Amino acid sequence: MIEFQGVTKSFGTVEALRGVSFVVPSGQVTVLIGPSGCGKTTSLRMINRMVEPTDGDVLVDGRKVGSFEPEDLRRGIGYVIQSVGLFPHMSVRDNIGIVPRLLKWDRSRRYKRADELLELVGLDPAAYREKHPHELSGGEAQRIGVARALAADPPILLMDEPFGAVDPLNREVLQKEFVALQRKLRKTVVFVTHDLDEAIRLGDEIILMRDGEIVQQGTPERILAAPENEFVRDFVGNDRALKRLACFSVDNHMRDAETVAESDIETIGNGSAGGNGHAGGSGIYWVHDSNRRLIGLVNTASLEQGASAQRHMTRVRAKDVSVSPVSDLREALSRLLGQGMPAVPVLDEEEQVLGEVCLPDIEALNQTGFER
Amino acid sequence: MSSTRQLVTYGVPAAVVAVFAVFVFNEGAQFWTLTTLFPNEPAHLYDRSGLPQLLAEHLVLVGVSSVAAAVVGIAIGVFVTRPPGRDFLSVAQDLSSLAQTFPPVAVLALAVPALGFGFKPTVAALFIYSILPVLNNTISGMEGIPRHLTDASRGIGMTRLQILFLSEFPLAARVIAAGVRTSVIINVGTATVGAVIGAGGLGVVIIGGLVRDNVAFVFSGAMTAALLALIIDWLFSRLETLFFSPRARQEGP
Repeated sequence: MIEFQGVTKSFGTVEALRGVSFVVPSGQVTVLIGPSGCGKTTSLRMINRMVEPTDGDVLVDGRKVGSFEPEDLRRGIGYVIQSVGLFPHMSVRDNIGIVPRLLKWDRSRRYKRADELLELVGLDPAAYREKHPHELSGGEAQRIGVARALAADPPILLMDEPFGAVDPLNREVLQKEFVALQRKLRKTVVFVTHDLDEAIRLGDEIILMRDGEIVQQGTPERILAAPENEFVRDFVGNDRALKRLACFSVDNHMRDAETVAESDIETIGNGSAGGNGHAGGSGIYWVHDSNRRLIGLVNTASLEQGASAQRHMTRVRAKDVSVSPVSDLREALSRLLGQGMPAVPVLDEEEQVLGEVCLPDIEALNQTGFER
Repeated sequence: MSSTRQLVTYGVPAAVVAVFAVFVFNEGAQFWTLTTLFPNEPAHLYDRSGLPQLLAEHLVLVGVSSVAAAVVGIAIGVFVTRPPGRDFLSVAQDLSSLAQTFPPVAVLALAVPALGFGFKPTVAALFIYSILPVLNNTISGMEGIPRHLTDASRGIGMTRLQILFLSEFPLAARVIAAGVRTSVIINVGTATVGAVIGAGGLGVVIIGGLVRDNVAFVFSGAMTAALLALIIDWLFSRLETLFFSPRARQEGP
């Protein structure tokens, strides 16, 4: 756990932080966000004593950071910065192994660890360990930056706009990888960004700052649903209802879907298909082939009594219409609007239907919890 | 590598070394060369001491002064780029460029009253004269290290010494090495002046030739010094490619 107690920082006459107090819970991602000069990076850099507070205390696990030797403190805290800061004269393996080297691990242990971490961040050790930083793309370099920060398995990770210099496409990939990684590792992460979408996507907790003060702290969903004042409202923007949908994952909000095998498709009209004879809330039957892969759908709303369901089946390409259980509702809504259908199927990796997401459910969700 | 490039990289230097060695160490070849080039001179071989002896003296002069200049130049350069020494940065740069505006002969003249004749004042003059390139390159090498790298070094928990030796020196090494190379090459030429105050070296033949109005003497000293400079320069370039292989070249993020 990291705790700020009335922390103030002045640079000359400029007050970068004005008596800030907050708690960063363990094992979660806490995002510091705000406009430039709000004090978010200064706060981050106080945790590993890159910046010393003018007044107040920063505590890590109940101990004042000022009581550590700065080097010992920093070796126990992973540090990732926007410019990555890989050493150009060292191979990827040596870059990853630099903190273990400072901690005097022997060479074979460092090399083994570097390979493990390359695997962890999704790079082939055999192909990458001997490379030098100038041979890497921006995304690869940033993955190695994360690997370096994790090398000595620190419980805390500080990330200062780590994906800020990566192009949007790669940024999204890196963000998704980071979420997956964090699910496995459960580090205490302090993450600085000025990108609200990134904060919503990655943060368990968001601390919104302005002019060296905290404006609002809470879960992303809470901040979007109930902005505390005009500044927060402006910062989250007019599309906050839409952004808020990114806080909800599909697997928590899908409902059971009616499915039917293509061979049994004519049973739909007879009321004997599936379990209860009615399509799931959406009125759609999802049709699958003999391998249980989605191949099409039948909308009962447009199916007249006695008509052939076979002839009313719309064939679809599973990839184009579906969402995955780890997608968020924003993506699901986009699919719904794009397809013009009352529901989107949720598919697993084998393209089998796990459930469906319906428009009314999303609407209902968006109405609850909103305060004006 | 194409064969023409290979010829330039290895063939030309090999030829220079061969010419140099034969001219300096084989008196017969030396005599033949000088009589062919200067048939009208009354004498062709310098009689007071042989070229190998003078070459050895020359190398000692250059070696001692260059090592001292490299050590002191790098040390000062590192000091003035640290927070405690930063106040002296401009002073150090000014002083060392001032030192290089002095003609070496003037430095010698000034050094003689303090240090006497011979080896010591010459080494002192060469030392002062060749500090500038080392110091300048050390400063620009250190200042040229991207801030985010120093920041990252600090952030992952390096001590000041570790930052210097694991991060800054390796990154600035290329630039510093170029400074040392320049200073040694300058010294090979300038050391000939030492002969004026009896420090020995290849300048002895040149001065002797000037005194006795003998072009053959002047030529043999000047040519030996020139070839020596070429050979040392080539050695440095080989060392640089050896230590800073293209893989380790400093580029990118």
